[in-house]
Amino acid sequence: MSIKVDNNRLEVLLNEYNNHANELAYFLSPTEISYKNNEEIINNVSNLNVLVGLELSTYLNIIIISNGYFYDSELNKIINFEKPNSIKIENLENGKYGIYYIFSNESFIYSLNEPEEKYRKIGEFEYKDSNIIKIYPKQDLATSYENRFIIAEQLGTTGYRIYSDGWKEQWGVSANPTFPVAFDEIPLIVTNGATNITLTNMTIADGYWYACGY
Amino acid sequence: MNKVKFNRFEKYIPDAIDNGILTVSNDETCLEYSTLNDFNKKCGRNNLTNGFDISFNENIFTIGKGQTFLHSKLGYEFNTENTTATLNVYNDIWGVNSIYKFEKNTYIINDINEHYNDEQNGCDYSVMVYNQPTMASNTSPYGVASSNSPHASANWSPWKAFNRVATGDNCFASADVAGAPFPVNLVYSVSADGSKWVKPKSFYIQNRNVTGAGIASPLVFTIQGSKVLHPYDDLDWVTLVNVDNVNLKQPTGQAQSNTYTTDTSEYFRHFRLHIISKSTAVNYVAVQQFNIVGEIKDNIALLNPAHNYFLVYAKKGEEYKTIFVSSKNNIPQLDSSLELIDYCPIYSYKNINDYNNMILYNKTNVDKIDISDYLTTNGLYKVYLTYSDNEYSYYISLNDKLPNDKVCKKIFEFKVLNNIVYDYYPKKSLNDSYLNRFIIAEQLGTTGYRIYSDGWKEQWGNLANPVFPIAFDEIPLIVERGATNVTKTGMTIASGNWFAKGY
Repeated sequence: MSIKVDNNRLEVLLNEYNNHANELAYFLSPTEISYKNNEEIINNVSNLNVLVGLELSTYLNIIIISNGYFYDSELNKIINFEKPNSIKIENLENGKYGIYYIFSNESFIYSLNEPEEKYRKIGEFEYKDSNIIKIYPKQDLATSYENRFIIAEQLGTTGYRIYSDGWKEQWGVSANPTFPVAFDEIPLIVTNGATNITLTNMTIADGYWYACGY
Repeated sequence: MNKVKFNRFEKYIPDAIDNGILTVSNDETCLEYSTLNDFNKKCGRNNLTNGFDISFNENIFTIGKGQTFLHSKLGYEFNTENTTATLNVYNDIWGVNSIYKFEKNTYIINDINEHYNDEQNGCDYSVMVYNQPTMASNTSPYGVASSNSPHASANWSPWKAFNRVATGDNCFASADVAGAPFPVNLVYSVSADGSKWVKPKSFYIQNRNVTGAGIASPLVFTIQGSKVLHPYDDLDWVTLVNVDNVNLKQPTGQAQSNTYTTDTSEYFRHFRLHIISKSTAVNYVAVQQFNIVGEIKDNIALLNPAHNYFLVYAKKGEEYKTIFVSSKNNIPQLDSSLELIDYCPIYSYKNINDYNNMILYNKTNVDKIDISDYLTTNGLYKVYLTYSDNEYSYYISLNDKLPNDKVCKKIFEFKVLNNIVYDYYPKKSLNDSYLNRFIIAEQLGTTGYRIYSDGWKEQWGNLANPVFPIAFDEIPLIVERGATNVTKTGMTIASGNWFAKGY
């Protein structure tokens, strides 16, 4: 016995599900649905080379790498970190260190030099006299952009703008100013005529002054 | 009746859902829909906002079409009232060691000056410097000054040895030792209820023995501590310093002083100057100052009002527990029964980003926001796109603290000064701005300018008394030294290189 059903909607062939768990369905042809796994479609939809999250912060001598992810084109894979990672910093030589994700052992390291094995750079920090004096990036690209790359400012006769990498512009009109915000390092750009420049103040006659640096 | 079986019907396409993506189920038995957000998570979409270009006209912001992901949430908020501290954790937060995730809950410290225990949150065991307070009476501001042999006049009450006045009659004097013989005890109790303990490091003793006034200074004495709640006799006291006038001497001159140290590792509730003899043959013994310095683990607000707060995850035996503590340290200090595993410093509030559960918003319409109600207060306003209960809306705030029940994305900021919006940012998407290098206009040359996309302007030249190539919106903030009469459009300065920066 046979039966004919005259209904075009039934003429789509659904391929077997076996070994296709969680894969996306797609039309292989107008009448056949097949499946693709994430790896097969990921490089068509990922926005390459953007770190999402993975922002750097410090608490005392601990570097905290927040949750987030990035896409690695070579592996064609999302490297996802559902929880933050912490690195305790102790007894380092002064210098500028990179923070790297090492693929082989799925861990974060810091190093003065680029690793020889496959890595993804997350950011960097500077270590000086037993302290982490600056770290970057503190915000990911999207957040930094929303924040104009300027993370704090005080506008007025005396004021400052602090950028997300720690760079500070400070200004005022007075003699021998105390900087509104202490610099982390001796300022690099200062008004001509200033002397005794420290992290917190400088000596200069009354008038416009300007200081810039980390 | 014959039955007809359609094998092909065993596989079917389920009823459609909005924005659903058809996937094979985890157990490989059927097709099912997953959400667009699940798909984005698997595919590592970035969190950049596309489109959402902002324009402004007559107090109305117009927000263009675009796509963005909402992922920011309020992690927690923290408040104190008197000695009570309350922490509301709205979304789980990680400790700094990335070991433990503190769960959504309300944590309360009823008294930030009382130590935590198995039943309650409280202050930790931070060691602080104890400097005996400057007393204003025998019981204020903190602790109790007393003597077994006080002078009949209140002018020389015990507390006057603890008021940190180094001259005059602001001193302790005993009763007439002819009538009330030695020893004379001058006592300071760390707290009135005996609940606070101090490990002493040093004692400072200054004489008051003006010639002819009938008062002498202590000659032979001990400095003692007591752990007993209510010390009764000499057996309740431990000698910390023995000034026997042979191996260790107090100078005998008026206003002379000495500092005595102890290396005890013990904590005490009370301290006393146990005076056995005096320096001259007069009837009264006096002490100008008796000050105590040491270490304390108890939280006396008077000593140092600054508290830090931490959520703490600790191990006690084989069990793990979460405690909310106040602390005087940058790292919580626990008692010896607890091992610190992880901790999270607590500030007034904190936002968190949940990139694994981002909500995609595909905005196909143009929105308008009237900000007239925000023009009365100067400041930098943040505008967030928010989502909850299937509704999208805009939330405007002067700070970064998000609403506690919504997922958010900051779309733009605007500045209000003197009842007008004088700037807003970003005006364009990241990609458009990046193509413009974040510098939206520039004129390079001997006289020139660069205007940044947030309105910041840098201008320069080398002429005397320049007219700025572009008028500033406000008086420039950073100006070449020596300039005078600085306005939005120019300044007075001698010929030579000059610069000016500002909005």
